[in-house]
Amino acid sequence: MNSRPERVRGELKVLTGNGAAAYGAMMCRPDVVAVYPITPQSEIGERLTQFHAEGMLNAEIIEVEGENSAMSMLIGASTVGGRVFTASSSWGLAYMHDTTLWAAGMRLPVVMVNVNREPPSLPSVSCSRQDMMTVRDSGWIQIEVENCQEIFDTVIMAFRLAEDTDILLPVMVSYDGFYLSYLSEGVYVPLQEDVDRFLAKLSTQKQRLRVTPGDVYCFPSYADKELATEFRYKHSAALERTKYKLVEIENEFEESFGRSYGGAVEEYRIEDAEIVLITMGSSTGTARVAVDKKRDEGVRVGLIKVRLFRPFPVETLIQAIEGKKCVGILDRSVCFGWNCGHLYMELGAAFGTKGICIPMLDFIGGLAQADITIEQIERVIDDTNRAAQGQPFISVTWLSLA
Amino acid sequence: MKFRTEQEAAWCTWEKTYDLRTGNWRESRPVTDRSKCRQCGWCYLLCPANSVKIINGYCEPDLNYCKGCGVCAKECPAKAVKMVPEKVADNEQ
Repeated sequence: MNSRPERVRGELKVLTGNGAAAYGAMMCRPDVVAVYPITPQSEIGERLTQFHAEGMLNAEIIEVEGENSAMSMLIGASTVGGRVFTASSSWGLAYMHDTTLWAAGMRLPVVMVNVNREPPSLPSVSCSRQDMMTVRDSGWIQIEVENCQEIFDTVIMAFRLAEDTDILLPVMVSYDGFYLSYLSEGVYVPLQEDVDRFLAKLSTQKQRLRVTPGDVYCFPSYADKELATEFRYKHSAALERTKYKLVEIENEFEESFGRSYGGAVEEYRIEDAEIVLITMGSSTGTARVAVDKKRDEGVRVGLIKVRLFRPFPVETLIQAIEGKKCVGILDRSVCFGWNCGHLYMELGAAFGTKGICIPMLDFIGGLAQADITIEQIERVIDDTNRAAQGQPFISVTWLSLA
Repeated sequence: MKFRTEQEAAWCTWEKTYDLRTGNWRESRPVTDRSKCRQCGWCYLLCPANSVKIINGYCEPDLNYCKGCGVCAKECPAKAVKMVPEKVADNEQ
């Protein structure tokens, strides 16, 4: 993270991950907020309700009876042109599954924070990215972030991205539950007027279609065969556009607030690296420490953090990986049916379609909040390094079992 | 790329809703015997697909949308509506 506070107007606040998400959402002035509580996300709803009570947030707060209703409310509010926000996690995300599909298919710019937690199938109140993977093919934009400042900044960028007329897609900002949701960190909170100015660019764009009194629209109307294909094509094209739009928005964000996260992926000590460690989310911080340690020992290792998971930034990753000997991937979810993690599976597909043939090692760790330690990541780097030197390797290693 | 609409999703004005011709599903169609029809409008009220139109005072099915469910034939108090299989109806025309 390139934190350059000297350029930032505003103040440093101590916020939890959830607090940062709520604060970021509040500063974007949403019209409608519908959040149903679920561990580890509940604090977001509580904070937003408190902002509302204190007069800091002028939004319609709807007390819903479940996540399915929350997303349904937001679909309605977004259809009439409102800026909407919700947050959920795990069980809640599963419960709103059909409505998340609706929001995407209807091309509604809903912004949701998803606090990663093990979803139903294991009764585990703990962190993993298994929940967000259940909706990875729903057509949402998915961004996974690393720390509290990034949560705050990404929520603001998410509104710009979602409501951009080139995009018009719901955005899910995810971060590791428990590790980040309750972690207090210093977060630079900019001035409200600066956030307003950053978002004001949306109002210069062509207004998106909305249902207004006296102007009767049917939405969503029936679409069959060719027409349905057309809408799917356009949806997919919008996701492709997201890849450069996110970079564009981040550049603007950096101009306004002095912070940037590299767009779709964030690179660390990658230039002269021979092997590359690929991570997502909160464990990236641990991985940086391990990379630094191994660098001191003379191992030429670099690190790539995947921020944008959907759409998957194939081109950017291929560019970053060019000329490297081997990649080690740190996964925090299981891709059933492929016997590996999701990041490994996605990268395998990316490398395959682009004709890149280097050893790939997958390390599944951190399931149900098993700690991903520096020692584990050092081992990941060692294994990857050995594979890079042509030694035999195991494709998928389950860290907590190894 | 050839597109049918400028919209990014299935938005349209209510007069021009993207058309689902449910008439394609029909296996038999209602045929009204005008000599028996009392012009009571009962079939107009009962049609679940709202596809009965009133033409010159008589109720006629809109075959673009009539699914051939037969509610009109079953309920007609004058027994003026008969369900005729599509193949037979096509041959008669």
